[in-house]
Amino acid sequence: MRYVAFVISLIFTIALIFLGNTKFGVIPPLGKLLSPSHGFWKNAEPVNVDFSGAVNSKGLNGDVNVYLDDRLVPHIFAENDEDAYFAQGWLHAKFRLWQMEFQTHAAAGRLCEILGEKIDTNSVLEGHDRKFRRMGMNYAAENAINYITKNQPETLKVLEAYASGVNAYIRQLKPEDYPIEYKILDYAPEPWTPYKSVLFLKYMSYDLANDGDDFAYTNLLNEIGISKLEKMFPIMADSLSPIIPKGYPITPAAEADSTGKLIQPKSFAKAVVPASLDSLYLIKKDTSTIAWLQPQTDKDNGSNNWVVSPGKTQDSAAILANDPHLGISLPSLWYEVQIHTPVYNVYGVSFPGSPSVIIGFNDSIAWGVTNAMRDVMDFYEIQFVDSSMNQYVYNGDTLKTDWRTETISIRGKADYSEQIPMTIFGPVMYDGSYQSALKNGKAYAIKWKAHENISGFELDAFRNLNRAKNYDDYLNAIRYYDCPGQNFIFASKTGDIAWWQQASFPAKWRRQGDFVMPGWDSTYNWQFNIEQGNNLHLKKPATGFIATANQLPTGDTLQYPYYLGGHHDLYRGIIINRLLNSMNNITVNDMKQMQVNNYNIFAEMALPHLLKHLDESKLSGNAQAFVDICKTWNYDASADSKAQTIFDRWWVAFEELVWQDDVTLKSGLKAPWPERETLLEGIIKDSAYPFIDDERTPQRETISELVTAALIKTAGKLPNDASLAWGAYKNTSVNHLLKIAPFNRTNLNVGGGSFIINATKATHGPSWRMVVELGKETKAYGIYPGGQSGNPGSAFYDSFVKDWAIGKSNELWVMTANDKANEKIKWTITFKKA
Amino acid sequence: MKFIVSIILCALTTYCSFLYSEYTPWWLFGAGAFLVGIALPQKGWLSWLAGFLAVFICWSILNAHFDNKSSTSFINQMAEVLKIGKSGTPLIFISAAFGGLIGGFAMLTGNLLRSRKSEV
Repeated sequence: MRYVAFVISLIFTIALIFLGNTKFGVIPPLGKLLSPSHGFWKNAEPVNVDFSGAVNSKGLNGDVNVYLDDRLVPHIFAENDEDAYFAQGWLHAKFRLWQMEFQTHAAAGRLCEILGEKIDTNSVLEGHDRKFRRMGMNYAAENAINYITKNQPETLKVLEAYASGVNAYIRQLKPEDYPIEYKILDYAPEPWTPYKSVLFLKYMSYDLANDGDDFAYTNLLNEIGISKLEKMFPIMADSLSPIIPKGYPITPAAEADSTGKLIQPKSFAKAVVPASLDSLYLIKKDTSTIAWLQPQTDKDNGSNNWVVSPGKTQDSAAILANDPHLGISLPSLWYEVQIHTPVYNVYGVSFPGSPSVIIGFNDSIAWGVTNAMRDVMDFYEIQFVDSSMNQYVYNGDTLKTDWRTETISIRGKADYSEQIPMTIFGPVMYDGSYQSALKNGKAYAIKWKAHENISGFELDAFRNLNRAKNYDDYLNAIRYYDCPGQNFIFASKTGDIAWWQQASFPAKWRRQGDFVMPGWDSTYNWQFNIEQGNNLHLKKPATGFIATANQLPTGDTLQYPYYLGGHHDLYRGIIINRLLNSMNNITVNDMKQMQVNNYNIFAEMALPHLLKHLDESKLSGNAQAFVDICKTWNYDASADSKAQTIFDRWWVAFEELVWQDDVTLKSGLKAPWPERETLLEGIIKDSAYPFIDDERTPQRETISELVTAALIKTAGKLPNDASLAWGAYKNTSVNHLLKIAPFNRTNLNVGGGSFIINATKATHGPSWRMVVELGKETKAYGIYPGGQSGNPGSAFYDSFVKDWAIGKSNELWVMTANDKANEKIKWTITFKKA
Repeated sequence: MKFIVSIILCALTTYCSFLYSEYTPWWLFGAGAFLVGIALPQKGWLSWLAGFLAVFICWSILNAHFDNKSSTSFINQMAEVLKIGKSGTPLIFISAAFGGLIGGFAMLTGNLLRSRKSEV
C-alpha cells in the first residue's frame, strides 16, 4: 500500500514539474514563468535599479567608459573605433536583446522556430517564413556577407566588434534574467553574428523598398485597360510641390571621355522602351493570370526632413529637422546613443542590431533621411519549359534553373525544406508550390535592388557619416549607398545645406515595373543603373531651404527622363515647402513646432469643394450639425478637433462611392485604390468627372449626389459626442512587437495623421523627431515614442511616450570628457580588456 | 515539533535554491523538500502540508518582495498577460500555491520513501 502511495506521490511531483516546465500551444511554461527564481518576477525592475557595472572581455583592445544619463542614454567614450562598436553591441544587447534577435529571425524567415507552425489558425509557415525565404532575404544577406568577408575587411571588423559586444553580454546572461519575451515564448538567445546585422539592414530594405503591388495593378490593367488606368492612377498630380523647385535646372554630371578629360553630356542616357510595349505589356491579358495581392507594408512609410540655411535663421546657423514615419512599436526601432572616440563624436539614434548612428549629428555636421519611395522591386512571369522547372525560356533560348534549398526549422515538428528556383532575375517567389491562392500554375520571379546590393556600403555610409566633417565627406559617405533609396539631407556648421536622393536606382522607362513583366523577353529587364552623379540632388539652393517629404523629387520628366515608380506622398511636401518659403528668422523652436504641426492641407484644398457640391436641403440631424462644424473649421487636425474626424470619414465615404464600382473586378481579384489627390483634382478640373458615375446603375450620378450621400452615410456612423474628437477617434497606440496587450500603450490623445506634417496615424507615425541647430554651440532636440529599455518591467520602457504624444522633445545632451561628474550621469559601465 | 522543523528546513532549502538559481533549475526546491521528507519522518498528510506551507510561505515572501520594490505596474500587467485580472496581487499567491503543490508532493514522496524503507 505504502509502495503504491509512494509511486503515486512521486508521479504527482514529477507531473507537476513537467507541466510547469512545458509550453502548451501559446500557453507558456507556467511553473517556470511563475517561479520567483526564474520567472517574470525578475523582470520587474526595482525602483533603485543599478545599471552600473564592469565588463572584462578579450574582445576589447582598450578601455571604454559608458555613462548612462537620467534618460538611460549611453554616452560611450572609447579609445578606438572597434571598442566603441563593441560597447554599442553590448548596450544594444543589454537593453534590446529580444527585439534585435526577433527582428532578425523575422527577416530570415525563422519565426516557426520560435512560434511553431501556426498560431491559432494563422500559419506562420505560409504567411511569414516561406514568404521571406522566397523573397530572397537570406539569399541577399548571404551574398552581402560573402562579399564583405572577401572585399571589405574594414567593414567586417566593425561588424565583428559589434557582434563580440553583443555576445559578451549574451554569454554572461543567466536564463533567469532573459528578457520577458523569451520566458513567455520559452526559448533562449543564440550568439550574434555579422550576418545578423546584415540581415537587419535587409529587413529595412523590406520595410522601405518593398513595392509588391505589381500583381494588383496587373489585375486592374487586365480588366479596365491602360487608358482608363492612366486616368485612375496618373503618374503625377497637378499640385505637386517637388523637392527640386520647379524650373530649377537638372543637368547630367560630367563624365570622363576616353582620354580622361571631363565632358558635359548634353542629356541623360535613357532606357530603351521595349518594342512590344503596346502589344505585350500595356494590354488587357487573360484575367485568370494573377490571383493574388502581396500584403504591403504601410504606404505611409515615409518621413519629413528639411534643412534651412543660415540666411533664414535667427542665429545665422543651419538647422536640420527629421522625423522618419514608420510603424511605431515597443520596444522602439530606435535607440539613442552618443559615441565619442579620438576621431569623432556623434549623437543620434541607432538600430539595435546594427553598429553606428543612423540619424544624428556630430561636432561638424548633421544628417537625416526620408524614404525615396521609388519602385525597386519588380516581378517577372517565368515560362518554364516543363513542370520540372529545371529550364526556362529567355529570348527564345532556354536557361537552366539554379535551385536553392532553404531548411525551415519548426518548433515541435519536422523541418520544412523550401526549394526555390533561381532565375536571372532572382528567386521565383510565387509558383505552384507557394501561395495556394495563385492557382494558375504560373511562376513569377522577383527582381529587387536589395538582392543586388551585396556590398557593405550601407553600413559604411552611416559609419562614415558619423565622422564626416563637411559636404565632401558627406557625399563620399553616401555615394556608394545602394538600397533602400533615401533622401539624405545634410547641414554643416559652415552653413552648407544639401540633399541627395541616394541609392542604386535602375534607369526605367515609363510604367516599367508597375505591372508584372514578361520574363522571357530581355527588353523588359532593367537595363542599367542611373549613374550615381546623376541621382537627383541640391546644394545650397537659392530658396535657402531643402525639404523632402516622400513627394516626387521632380515633376520635370523632360529634364529628368527616368521613371521613378512607387507611391509618393503629395500633401506634406506642399505644406512644408509653403511654410518654409514664408518663414524667416527661424529658430529651433519654430522647427520643433513645425514638426508637430497638425494643419490639414488636404482638407484646405478638398473641404471647400465638398461644401460647394453639398446639397444641404437633403440634410437633417447629425448631418446638418456636422456641416456646421466643418464650415467653421480652421483645418487644424488637433486631438480635440471634431471637424477633422468628420472631414476624414466624409472624404473616405465619398471615395468609396466614387471608386467602388471601378475597382471591384469581375474576376473577384484585388485591385489597388486610387490616390486621394486623383479624385480631388478630378472633381476640381471637371464637374462631370466620368468616374463619378456608378457603372452599375442605369442613371448618371452627379458629384453633388455622391458628396451628399457620403455625408449622410458618415453622419449615420459617427456619434456626435466626445468620442468624435480626432484623438479619441483615431486612438493612436504604440504596440508591443508581439501585440501582448498589457505591454501596448494605447489611447494616446494625439492629433495629426495622413497628409499632415505630424503624420501620426493609429499605429504609424513620427518614429523619431529630431531638430539640430549647428551654431557655435550645437542645440539639439529629439524624442521617439518609446524608451531606452526594451523591458516592459522597466520604468524606461515607455518613458518618452507621454511627452512624444503631446509634442514635447528632449534636449539631446552631448557629453564631454569634462562632464564625468555631471549630475545627469546616473550610472557608469566600465569595459576593460581581459 | 517535527512539523515546524520540517517547514523551517524546507523553507530554507527553497530559499537556498532561489539564491543559487543561476546554476540550478527552477524546480530544484522540490529536491530539497524531498530530502526533508526523508530526513524528518512524520504522518503523511502532515508531511504534505509542511512541504506545501514551506514553499508557499517562502515564495509568497519572495514574490511580494519583488512586487513591492518594482518600479512599474509590470506585475499587474503580467496578471493581464496570464488572464487573471488587472491586479498582480493574486499572482503572488497563485505562484506560491503552485510551488507549494510541488513542495507538498515532493516532501510526501520523501516521507513515503522513508516509511517504505522502514517497513521493509
